[in-house]
Formats: sequence, structure tokens, C-alpha cells
Amino acid sequence: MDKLIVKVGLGSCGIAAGAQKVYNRLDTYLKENPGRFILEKTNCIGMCYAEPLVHIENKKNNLIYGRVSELKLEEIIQNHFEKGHIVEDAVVYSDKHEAPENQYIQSQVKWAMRNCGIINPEIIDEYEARGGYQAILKVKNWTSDQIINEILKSGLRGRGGGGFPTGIKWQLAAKQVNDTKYVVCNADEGDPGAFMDRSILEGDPHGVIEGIIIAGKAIGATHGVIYCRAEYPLAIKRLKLAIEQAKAKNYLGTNIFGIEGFDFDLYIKEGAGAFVCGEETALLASIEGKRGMPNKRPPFPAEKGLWGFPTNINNVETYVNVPAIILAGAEKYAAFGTEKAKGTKVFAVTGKIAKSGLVEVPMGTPISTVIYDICGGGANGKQIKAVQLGGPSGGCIPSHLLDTIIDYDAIIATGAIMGSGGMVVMDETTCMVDVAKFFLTFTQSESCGKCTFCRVGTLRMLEILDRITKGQGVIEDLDLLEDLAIEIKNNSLCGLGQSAPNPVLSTLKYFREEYEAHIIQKRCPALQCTELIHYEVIADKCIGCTLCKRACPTHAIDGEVKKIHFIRQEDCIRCGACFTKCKSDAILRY
Amino acid sequence: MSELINIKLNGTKLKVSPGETILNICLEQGYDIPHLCHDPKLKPFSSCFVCVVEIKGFKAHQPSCSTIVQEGMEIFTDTPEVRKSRKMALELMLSNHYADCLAPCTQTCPAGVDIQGYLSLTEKGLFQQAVELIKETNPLPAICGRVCVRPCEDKCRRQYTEDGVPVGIDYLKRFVSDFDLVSESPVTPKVKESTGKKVAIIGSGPAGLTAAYYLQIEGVQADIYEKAEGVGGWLRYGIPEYRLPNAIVDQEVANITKLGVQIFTNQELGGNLQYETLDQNYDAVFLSIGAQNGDLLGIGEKPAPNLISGIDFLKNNALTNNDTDLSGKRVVVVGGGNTAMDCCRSARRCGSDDVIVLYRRTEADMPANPIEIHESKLEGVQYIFLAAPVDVYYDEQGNLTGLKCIKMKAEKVPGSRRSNIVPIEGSEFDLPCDLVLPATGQKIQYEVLDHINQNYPDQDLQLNKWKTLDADESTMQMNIPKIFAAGDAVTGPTNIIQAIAGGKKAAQYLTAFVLELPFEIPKKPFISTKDSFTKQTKDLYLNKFEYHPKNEMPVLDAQKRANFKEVELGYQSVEEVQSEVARCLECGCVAFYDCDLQKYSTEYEAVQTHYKGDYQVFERTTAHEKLELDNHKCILCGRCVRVCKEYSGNRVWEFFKRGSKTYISVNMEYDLAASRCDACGLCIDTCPTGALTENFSFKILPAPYKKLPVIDPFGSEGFEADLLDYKGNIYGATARTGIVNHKGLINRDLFFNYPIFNKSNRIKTPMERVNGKLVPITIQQALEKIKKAVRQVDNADNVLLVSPEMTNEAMYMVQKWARVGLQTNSIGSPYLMNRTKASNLDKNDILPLQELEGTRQIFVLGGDLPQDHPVISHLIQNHRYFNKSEITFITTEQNHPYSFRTDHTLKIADSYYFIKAVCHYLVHTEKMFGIFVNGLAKEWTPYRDAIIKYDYAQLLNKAGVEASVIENFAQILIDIPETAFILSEKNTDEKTMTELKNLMLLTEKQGKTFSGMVVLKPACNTQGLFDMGIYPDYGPGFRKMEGSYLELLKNHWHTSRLSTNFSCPGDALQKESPKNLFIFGLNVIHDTPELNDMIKKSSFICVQSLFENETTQIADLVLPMNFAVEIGGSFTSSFKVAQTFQAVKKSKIDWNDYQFYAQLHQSFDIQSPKHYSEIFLEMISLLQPSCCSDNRHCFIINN
Repeated sequence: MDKLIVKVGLGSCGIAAGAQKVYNRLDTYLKENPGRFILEKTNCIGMCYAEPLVHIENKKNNLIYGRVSELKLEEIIQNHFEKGHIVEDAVVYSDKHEAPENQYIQSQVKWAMRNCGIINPEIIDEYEARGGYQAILKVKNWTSDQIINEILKSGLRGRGGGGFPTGIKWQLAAKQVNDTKYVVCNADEGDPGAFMDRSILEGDPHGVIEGIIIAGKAIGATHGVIYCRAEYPLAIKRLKLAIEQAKAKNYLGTNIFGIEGFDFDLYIKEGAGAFVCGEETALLASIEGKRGMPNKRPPFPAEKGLWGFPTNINNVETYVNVPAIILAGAEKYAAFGTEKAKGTKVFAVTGKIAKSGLVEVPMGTPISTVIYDICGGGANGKQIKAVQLGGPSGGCIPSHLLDTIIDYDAIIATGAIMGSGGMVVMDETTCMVDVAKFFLTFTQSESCGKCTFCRVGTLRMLEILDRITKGQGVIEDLDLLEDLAIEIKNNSLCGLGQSAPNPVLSTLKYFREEYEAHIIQKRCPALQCTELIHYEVIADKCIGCTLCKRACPTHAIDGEVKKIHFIRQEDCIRCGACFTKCKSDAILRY
Repeated sequence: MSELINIKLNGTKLKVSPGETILNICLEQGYDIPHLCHDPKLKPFSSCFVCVVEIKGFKAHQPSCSTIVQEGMEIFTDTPEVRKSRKMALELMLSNHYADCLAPCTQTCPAGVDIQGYLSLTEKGLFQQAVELIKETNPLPAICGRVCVRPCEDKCRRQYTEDGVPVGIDYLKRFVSDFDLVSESPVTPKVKESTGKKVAIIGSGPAGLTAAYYLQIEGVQADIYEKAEGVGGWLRYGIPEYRLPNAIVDQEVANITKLGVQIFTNQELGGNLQYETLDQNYDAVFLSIGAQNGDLLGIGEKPAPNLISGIDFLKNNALTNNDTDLSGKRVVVVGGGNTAMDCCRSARRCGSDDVIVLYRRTEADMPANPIEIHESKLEGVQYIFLAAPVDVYYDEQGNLTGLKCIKMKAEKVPGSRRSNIVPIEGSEFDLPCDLVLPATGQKIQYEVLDHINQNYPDQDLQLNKWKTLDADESTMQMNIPKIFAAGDAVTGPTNIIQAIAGGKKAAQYLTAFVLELPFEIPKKPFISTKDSFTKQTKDLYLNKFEYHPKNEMPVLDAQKRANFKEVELGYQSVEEVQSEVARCLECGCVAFYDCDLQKYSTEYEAVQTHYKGDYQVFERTTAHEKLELDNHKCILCGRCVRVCKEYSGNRVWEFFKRGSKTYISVNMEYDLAASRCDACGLCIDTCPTGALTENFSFKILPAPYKKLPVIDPFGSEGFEADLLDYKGNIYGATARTGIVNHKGLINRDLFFNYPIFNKSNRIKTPMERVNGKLVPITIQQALEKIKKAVRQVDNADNVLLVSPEMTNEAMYMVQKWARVGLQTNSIGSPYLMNRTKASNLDKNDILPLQELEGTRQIFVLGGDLPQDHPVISHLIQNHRYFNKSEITFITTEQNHPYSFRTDHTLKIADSYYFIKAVCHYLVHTEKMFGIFVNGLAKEWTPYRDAIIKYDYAQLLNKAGVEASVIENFAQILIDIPETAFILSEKNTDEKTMTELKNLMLLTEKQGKTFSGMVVLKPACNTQGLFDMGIYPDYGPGFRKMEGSYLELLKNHWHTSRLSTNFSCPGDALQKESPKNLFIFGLNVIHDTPELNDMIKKSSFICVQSLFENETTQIADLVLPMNFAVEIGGSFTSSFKVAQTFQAVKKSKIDWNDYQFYAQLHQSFDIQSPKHYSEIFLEMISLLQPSCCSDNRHCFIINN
């Protein structure tokens, strides 16, 4: 009999959109109609914009309903489950028919997210059913060199942002002679707007664990630590569950997988939310119970890492790729991508974009493909102005450079960085000075405070940006900004400081005229900087309805019924209440 | 050793050791790379980023302090880019450095007088040192103390507190200067040898006198030519006597002429003195001619006999000895400055009952000193404000009969401080009067300049736009190179302190000019100031300081002022002075002269306001008795955090918050006073700025201290240190890295207890007790008294007790005197009580300090190491921090705080039985190192037999531990060869120590590298007591007084007889016969009360002591004594390392121990040297030829 399987996406994003309610309703329905289908949980498949998602699978059909509201769900129950009729207007994806999001799914190539939104992450068997823990068995009798060579061949590079070849990193740690070695998984995803690692941890925890174990085998480590930020409670919960399950199957512990002498234990360390702890030396300090402050490299963690022992650190996405590479073979993975950047990369596309969610594409794909073809271009049909890559450490790529391909070097050439995969889309309503200020506010408050330039220099930059957005900037401020930015980059110990000025530098590079407009014309072209927005009554259009006058909190509007109103600029606090209230478009905002 | 690697440093090829940091190599190579967060004894941190360098192939700059050199590295340390980065790093730090380098008073003073400095010295009663300090920048303090306009007080922060008025800086200056003027030997600077150069000075006003003073000090003959009959210029002829008595001027001038300055009066340049003559006879000319032409009303008035410029009036009055008679006359003084005040108050004193000051602005606008205005009103002077003369009435004789005045009104000018004054139309009024004294301005006498110019056909002396002399601002040189100028002639009429500043500056460059040296204009020192951040106002200071009203200046009663007697009387008591000094808020930073941030900021010409923005404001942490933290000055280098972690082990300091909000505070944010901090002082010592300082019990004295190298006189580890000296007093101590102190650590006792060197109650002369009181006597008399006492008792009844804080040389001399002079061997020290010779460990049995870092296991046996021997505790902690060694603390105390800093704590009941139990266990189970004990150790068999007899269970019981503890402990000793025991002699009895020595033999820990025991002695030279023979039957070198050694001594000491009665001091004192007790440097009555009865039985007690104390109170004869640092010598450390040191500190008393001992020897017919180096040579020849003593490798049976 063809069993109907119904899966509800219960990632953090899905739950936030109401997926739990959907699941509960289906559960109740199922109790009333036992055996009508099999109800399962899964995680985010990446289409965050269309949550809650309900996957329907059977032999005939494989489709996804999207934006399943309570009302829509009843309709689906009535039509689909009761009568077998597909509710066409709710289908976002179907493998048989045209559906609005077919392209979104089909344009992607899933390695890292191969199991996300497919399996139930809380059930180890589901992972194993899809080839899970087979990679470790495949390398059971491999030597360290063999494993590392395979990774080297795959061309996998650090997905956390640095892009350092993973194989070489492992090689460095493997050649250290020491009885004690560590493998650390950096799950301290801190970039504003980035959630790739969270989704992977929530959706495929065993994939990450298997990757870590393989790394452990490759470098000769016996202990692993996953450093995960405490702000990811669901991820931590699922990781803990996964570790328990793995231990129960002797996938963790002593002589694991029956491999004589292969001991490997895995722990979770919850980070307290300091962004700088994503920097590997600060991360290690934090695990050791010290203040999260970076140290000078060399010595590299591979030589002297956790507690002074050789340590390999990679991030979540890097590790989750490893079992897939081993299983499929390095060549298959390396077939994707460009000469220097192999495989795929997951991006969290957010901001002013039609479809925001997770997208995994092969390296070498033009950014424009991700933005326009997969994610549908600007939100509400607005013109895209720029895409910010790499979060607070990255930079903006202006719309005319969006054909740049996803490749470490190609992106760096634009002044941005690949980063860990945050892709924030900006349109004409985004003020680029404000964007720079936003990211710098973040880095400034997240600086560990150690290095002079990062601690004080970024504050001074921020103060300048603040002045500019308030209309108090002078043209010399731009030189001062650039001067500070260059020196901070040149004189900081860790990546945080070295990259903190990037958002400012890249916006200055591509959007200098916006800065100048703020300074010279005292105007914010995107109409975002409150202090620089002006409101005036358009005399021709004003009908004297007094709506604006009544809405004004500071009584800055003069006027009587049926007479043209007037805004006294000196009393206006630029709150925009008049603009919003006016029904005759008689308020000019500029 | 690993092979050297090749690098290129600033283009030079070098071979360097791998693993070295770039900074270390650069410093070695002499490249002065600035660095703030780096301390060589700490793990590299790299936070300040001022040490950055450029490395070829690296995109970014690298911090040199943590970058390890690599083969082929090309490093550049001084490129413009690197300099730019360093400067920005400094400026960014400074933009959050809401703190003052210098006190605002000092910053404001035109002459830069170190006000905070002399106030601090005044607080300490060092009045003449205060004057010395003032005279470094101002040679006329008694004059300035009376009539300075006190710009310093305007800026004094005290005025923002509840008291509302500044510190009476000038009053205090006057007090110390007057104290000095009447003292027996007023402060006189050292005059350098004559250079043969000469400078002519025109005018004897403050600028001229000042220039002369500093020129003469530099060895340049200064000749002053004065037009008038009297000396002083404006000081004598401008300022009335009731403010500045001529006698004071004469005294200060005398202090200048005393240096060799010549003053020729009645010499008018252009009159009876020709410039040509000066030009021929002098190497340079200094014009300090003042601005002597007083302005009149300037309203087109005709001259009149009763219209006299204010300054002419004052001058005439001074010339006639205040003989002007103005009784019955109405006098109108026009103007509102200090000259106007001098005029009106003088006019009152000349008999006028009707003196009116006419001023065109308001009272608040008056430039005159408010005190002057106040006093003038008290004296009956009337004021008409907001009015100005517009015309003058004359009688037929051409005398002025009155003024026509007009009323004025003030109009606010937006953006301007002062309002605009405009006449009120039609408000004219008449002011009849008999004498008008305009005091509105002065000009220089251009005739003099014309006269000089005649000698220079090609050019004239250049004037500036104010028509005063256009001297170069930095050097005071004129356009004619050999002519310099300063004072009012350059600045226009201003004040004395400006003139002094100009005179001083001119002297500096005149000296360079006449000696044909290049003009070196120093870099302006960087000065951080709170004013760079925000205007200092009341709201920042209220409720922060104790209310302490100003001590007002006592003045002559207003009724008694109808004369020219001085009105201000000066402070009358030291109490008043100290109460006023106490009001000083000590704004300047104590670390100013030692601050690396300041030093580099000056070097890199950093500007504090370059990156102005938000800054952090904190409360100062002052609750701790010893430490104080001012976060404003903190640059977050983390040196305190790290030194506390890496050396103290207490982890008191930690970083808090993130980003620009980061700050340093007490770990877990407990109150510092309640924290684990045990005030070791390391954090203060390492702080590169003034953020962490001592919590001083006195007013801080920021000064360029002289570093006096010493060997720690408070600890027995022989650690090198520096005392911080200023004019003979000690204001602190700091670590000095040396052979022993290779990490640069300092002992807490020295760090905080240095004030003992400044204590004032030193014994200054020998004193004998007469009728129960000590009275001074001469040295000869003292020697006679000693001889007399010695004659009265049997030889053996002379008993000597010696302090372990004396130098080896002093001990040796005392011992030699005892044995040769007194024929007694009853010599000892309370520190050796209950100690036999077994306590004198062989040097080979002591773990050398350097080997401590090779140990893997350290046992600290009892005591309180961090308290009693902090430097050793620090070294051990550091060793532990880097995971090289485990520390186990064996203690009998419950919850000892030291346990927090060790890996394990072993709680036992008794350490002797504990060790004994271990020994028993090892012998019983035959786990000892059999080959060694059988083959090499002496007394093995009897020891084995003795120890085996003990009942193990009983031993365990007494040790208070389980058998397993003993067994585990023994196993560690067997398993880990690199094991050390650290114990403090103070807390360890001899039995425990010797039993431990047995244990060392059993486990072969003695004499082996990285293992053995360290017995830390209580006082700096406790070991010297043994080595110098402060022991009845053992002589110098700790050799038994018998056989050939006895002969050697006789030969060496040129004596035929030495007593072989070796009774110990205790036994001798117990005897009933009359006894002489000689106590050297010990306060036995206080320190060893158990000996008191015994001591008091002595018939004659002679005490040598630094201070009067309980023991000197019972003495019949008291002798002065030196601190070791005053006489030099050597100490022997706990590690048996003898270290010599020089006499670095001048003795405050006229006394030298060595000379006295030599005299003492002489009076007993002993030939002895009197310099410590000669004593050392004599003493050293008596020491053991080899290190091996007879008790090496010998078991000791304890019962």
C-alpha cells in the first residue's frame, strides 16, 4: 500500500511561523483518523519565506504546501486528506507539476543540507537510512593520510569564512606528536542575518557529529568539543539528543564503530554569546573558562590549541560536508565549483529580498543567480541596490557587480568576503551609511576590548558615522574614517578587528555619493536617517483636513480647516506622523 | 642548542636564535621600539599595538612583542607607516585617558613651577627642599610668594569643591621661602665652573635677575646694569612696600649676587653707559628693560603737574621713601588693574582720605587681583564703575582741577566673554579732584633701543605689532643674534612670573649662544589633561572631597594701615601651613616621570584631542589599604591581570565588559579590599602608567627619582631592587632585574615599607644615660665608656648580640672586636636561638634559585610563603602557571589561604612527625636509595637503627595522617626526581629541618639538579650570622675555632691569644657576675620578650640602633647606626650567595658604622681597615677554601 507521509518543518523558523500549531492540528486529525497518513517531523528545507511548510510524500506525488495557515490547513485536510484533491493554490513545490517554488528547490545543489528538511533530525535511524554513519565505516581502515588526502582532493575549504583548505588544516594537526589532541566544532554563528549553521545543527546534527568523528580519526584526536552559542537552544537540544543516540550505538566512546583503539568522545560547550568567540583563539580561551580574548597566532591551534594541545577547529558547515564527500568520493564533490573553490556553499539570503531563506548552490554560481533567479529579486519588486556578504566582517557588492561569481577570490576582489554565508539584500530604501553604522555598532560592542585600534578606533569610526547620519558630518570626516579604517585593519590581532572596518570601506567605495549627500546636502537619499528627513506641505494638494495637524505630537503644524497647512521646521521632530496620516499625498517627504 | 636563523632587520642581516620575539631582538639590537603591554616577565599579550613593525610579505602590521622571528624574515621597525600606526594607537588610547599628567596649577604657571611637588615637600616639613624645587624654575620665590598674580590658583581644582576657593599656593610658597631666607644656610644652587663667557644684562627687574641667576649657575658671568640707584626694577619702584618690603627684595637679590652675579647701579644705557662698551666686553647682551613709560588719559589732555602716570607716582613715592603727602587731597585713579590698586592703596597711605578709582567697566571685569580690591575697600578706597573721563578741567596755573566723565553701559556681545562698553549719551558728570593718576597702560622706553640701533647701521632691533621687542618665542633671541630680550619689554606690561619665565628661557639659550652650542628646542612634553575632555566645573567635584576651608592669610588690621608696613603677615605656624597643604587634591600623576604612555606620546608627538569622542568616567578605587586604581589612566594592557595570574596566583584583576566599555576591575567584582589581594605590589610595579599606584599615606611626589641600586634589605632572597630617591629621601622601590632577580620581581616589604628610610627619629650621636636620661656625648667619650665597662668584668662576661640585618662586613668587625678586643666568644643572635650548626646547610644541599624552574613537584612545608617570602612564592606560582610543576602545600593549619594557590593541600598535625613517618616508611620498606645511603652518606647505620625503632602507627598518629598519605607521598619522592621542598626558617624548627635533610638523603634529592630543599631565612643576612662567625665556637667561614684555624686567626688578626672559652651568650647572661651586654642593631626587648629578664640583669648595656626604641630605653650607652644602604657591604642570601652592594644613600646622620668599628678596634689596639671593601678582603681570606663542610651527606639523629 502506498503510504502517505506528511512532514511538518519544525525548525526554529518554522516554529516561529506557526508550524507547531500545524503539526498539532495534524496530530489531532490523525488520532481521529488513524492510519490516514504517517505524520513526521522534519526541519527547515530552506524556504523560510514560505513557512509553515507541510511536505506530502507518496509514490504518486511529492509536494510541499507553503504558508500553511490554520485556515489553509483545514482546506488541505478537507480536500487533500479527505478527498485526495490537491489544494493547488497552496502548493509551493511539486515534483510533478509546475509550482511557484520549483525553481527555488531545483536550482540548488544540496551537499551540506542534504538531509535538512528531509529527515527527522531527532531520529538517528533516519540519518542512517540516508547513508548516515556509512562514511566513517568507509574510512574504518584508512590511514590518517588517506582520509586527509581525500579531503584535500575534494578541495573543501573552511566554510566559516576564512576559506583555509580543510585538508591542510587537518594535516597540520595530524603531524603533531601528542597523545592528546582535540577536534573543535565552531558552532558560534554570530553574524547578524546568518543562520546556515543553526539550520544544519537543527536539521542534521548527526551529519555534523559524523564529520567531527572523521576529523578526529584523521588527526588522531580522542576528544571533540562543539562550541555552540546558547542562543541556539533547539540546536543544542538536538545535538545533545544526537550525542546520546550516538553513544548508545557506540558511535561515540571507546572502540567506536568496533574500531579497536579508536576512542572518541564529544562534548557541547555553550557559548555565552560573545561574537568574538567565533574567532578560534578566543573560542578556545572561552572553552578553557577564560575571558574570550584572541591570542596571537602562531602558535596555531593545530600546534598549541585547547589546553595547549594540538587542536583542529572547523565550523559546522565544513564538518557536515565531510561524510558526504567521503561517501560520494572527493571527485564528485570537486566536480562542482571553480578552480580554487570546490563544492557548494550555503547562503542565508535575507533583507529586502522576495524569497528569504537558505540556498545551497555550487561555487562559481553568479550572485545574481541566487538573488534574482532563485530568490526572486527585490522584495515588493523594488530595485536591489547592493548585497552585503560576510556580515559585519564583510562588505557590500553593488548591484552592477552582482554577476560576480561565488568564489573566494572573486568576492574579495569586490571588497567583500565570502564569509560564513550571510547574504543581506538591500534596496533603494536602504541607507548605506546606516548599514555601515549598523554593522559597526555590532562589531564595536562585540569587540573583546583587547586591542587599542579595535576597542577605541571602531568607537571613533562609529561616532563619525553617527555624526554623518545626524547631519553633523564634515567632508574631512570621510578621510578620517578611511584613515581609521585602514589603521584598524592593519593593527588588530584577530579577524574581528581586522575586518570590522570592511562595511565602512566597501560602502565608501561604492556609495561615496550617499555619504557626501549626508554631509554636503544634509540629505539621506534613502530617507532612512531621521534627522535628515524633511516634511513639507504641498500647497496644491492640501485640502485642509487637519489630519496631519492632529497627528503631530509636537504641534508643529499650523493650519485651519479647509486652509492650507504649514509645518514649522524648527518644531518638527521628523517623526513622519503627518506623512503617514495624510490621505491626499499632500506631505512631501524628502 | 638550536641553530641560529637569518633575518633582516631594517636592512641589516642578522643571525638570531629561533623562538625569540621580534621585540626582544630589536631591543637587544638597540632599536627603541615603543611598547606598553609588554613586560618581559609575562607571556606576550599584544593589546596596545604601539610596538607594531612591518614585515615583508605580511599585509598588516605585526605586534613585535608576540611575533616570533622566522627564517628569512625582513623586518622594518621605523617606516612612516609604522610610525603613523603607533601614533594613532597612542592617540586612540589618549582619547579615552580622562586624566591629568601634570596638575593644572603647574601647567598654568608661566614659569612651570612644580607646585604639586613643593606642596608635597612642604607637607613633609622639607621646606628648604621645597625652595630648592621652586628655584629650579623661579629664583624669586619670596617675592612671588607675595605679589604673584597667581594664575595657578585660578586653575586650582580645589575651588570646585565645597570649600569654593583654591589652595593658598602663594601663601605656602611665601612661607617656605621666608623660612629659607632666615635659615642659617639658605638654599644655594651649585654653580658650575666658569666658562669664561660673559653676558651683560640691562635692567635688574625680575627678568634680568632671573636670567642672571640661571646664567651664573651655568658658569656664565652675568653682569647686571641698572639705571636706578636701587636694584629690582619694578619690584622696588613699582610695587609699594606694604605689599613687597624692600628688605625682601634685597634678600632675594643677595641670594643671587652671592652666586657671583654683579650688579652695577646708576648705569643708564645710552646715558653714562655706552652700548659699544658692552658690545666689546660681553659675549651677549640681554635686554630686560621693562615698559617704563606710563600712559596718561589719552583724551587729548595737556600735561599738568598733578596729572601723573600711576607708575611714575609709585616710583616717585618709592624714591622718596614713601614720603609723598596727599593729606586733604582728593585722588582719582583711572583704571582697574593691579597698578591702579597699588596707586589707590598707596594714595590712602600717603594721607588722602578721598581716593576714588574710576573704572570704565564693572567690578567683575577688573583685571586686578580680587584680594587687592577687597583690601582697598577695607582701607576706604571708593569706586566709580562704568564711567570714564572724557575731558579735563584746568585752573589758570595749568593745574588740573577735575575730570569730566561720562557714564557707560554694558552691552552683551553674543559669543564674547566680555560685554561691550558704550557711553550713555548725555550722562556726563564732573569729578573735581586734586590729583589724577592714570593707570591704564605702559610702553617701553624707545630711547634705549635707538641708542642700541646706532651701533647697527644695517638693521634695527625688530618690534612686533604691539611695538614691543620681537624676540623669538622659543629662545628669546632678537634679530640681532647677540641680543636677547624678555620681560615687559617683550610681552608688554604683564606680570612678574611671566618675566621670570622669559628670563629663565633666555638664560638657557644665552648660555647655548655664548658657548656656541646648537639651540636645542626640546620636544614639547605630552601632557594629558582632563580639560581636553570637558571643562572642569563644580558639578564634577562636589560631594567628593572632605570639606576643608582655606586657611586665610593673617593681615594687618585695617585700622593700622596708615603706613607702608607689610599688610599680609604670612602664615604663623607650621600647623596652618600643613592644614593648607592638605587641601591640595594632588591632581598631577605620580607616575608622570615614569609613565611609558607619556614618554611615547611625547616622542610621537601625539595629540590628545585628535580622536576626540566618548570617554569613560570612573570612580577611583581607594578602599584598599595599599593599592589604588584609577581606571581613567588604564590603557588595558592587562599587565596587572597577567602578573596577578602568572605570579601571585591570586587572580585578583580581570577585564570586564566588551568593546569600548571594557575596563579592569577586581575579579568577580568583589570589593578590592575584600578580595584575595594580598598586596604583593607586583601589579603596581608593572603598570606602565599611573593607573595602579600605591595608596599613599602622604601627598604624592611626582619627581624624576634617582634609582639607587640595592639588594633587598627586607628579604633574604638577595633580590636586586632600586630605591627611588629624591633629594635624599626615599619615595618608593621598584624591581631591578639582575642575576638573582632574573624575572624582575619585588618583595612586598620593600615595596611598601620604604618610608622607614625617611623616618625622622634616627639616633644621630652617641648618648649616655645620665640620671635616667640619654644625653649626647662624643664618639671618644663613648669609646672611653666602653673601655671602662670592659675593664670591670671578666672577659667571658662580655656578651654580644648581633642583628641579621647587618652587612657581613659589619658582623665581621663586631665579631673580630669581640674575640680579639674583648677576648670573649659569647657572641650570637636571637635568630640563632635553638639552632645548632646543623641549621647551617651546606651550599650544595640548597637548591639553587635558578634550578627552581626545572622542578616538576614542589612541596611547600608550612609557613605562609606569599606573606613571608613573596618573591619565592611568585617564582613558584609562575612555574606552576606554565604547568611545569605541581605545588603541594603541607600545612598544619585548617583552611590556610595559600591553599587557593596550590594544586594540593596536605593537612597534617605535625610536620616533624610527618617527615619522620616518611623516613621510617622508606627505611622500613627499603625503598630508599640504597646505593647512595650505603655508599656515600655518613652515619647511615646508626640512623637506620634509630629510625627503624619508631612505631609507625604512633608516627602516623602524631603526623595526623593515614598510612596511604605517607605512602603516596613517598612514592612521589621516588617517582619524581625533580622535587623540591620550600620551607621558611621562621616556621620550621631545627628538628623538622634536619629530619627533612635526612629525607633528602634517603631519596637522593640532595646535591642533584632540580631537586633538594630551600630554607628561606627570616632576615636579609641571617645566613651571614653563620658565615661571619656570630657563633661562640665557630669563626668566620663558619669554621670551628680550633687547631690550625685558630692559629690562622691569630696570625691574621695579629694577636697571640684568643679565648677558648666558648660559652654561649645565653649561658653567659645567666651567670650572676657583672656582665656587659652589647646589642648591635636589635630591638631585643620588643622582638624577643622571652630574653628580657636575662637582658635586664646585665650591669652595662650598650645598644647600637637606628632609632630610639624599647631597647635603647634600657641602655646605658646608645650608639647611632647606619642602614646598610648608607654604608655598602654584602649580604648572604638564603641560597648562600653573597652579594655586594655600594653605599647608595647618603646618610642623614654624620656617622659611618665601619669607621666607628675601626675606631673601636683601634681603641682596643686592633689593626683593622675602615672601608667595607678592605674589610671584605680581610674577611674573605678566612672563609672556607672549598664549599664542602663536614656535615655534608651526614644523617642527623633527632630524638
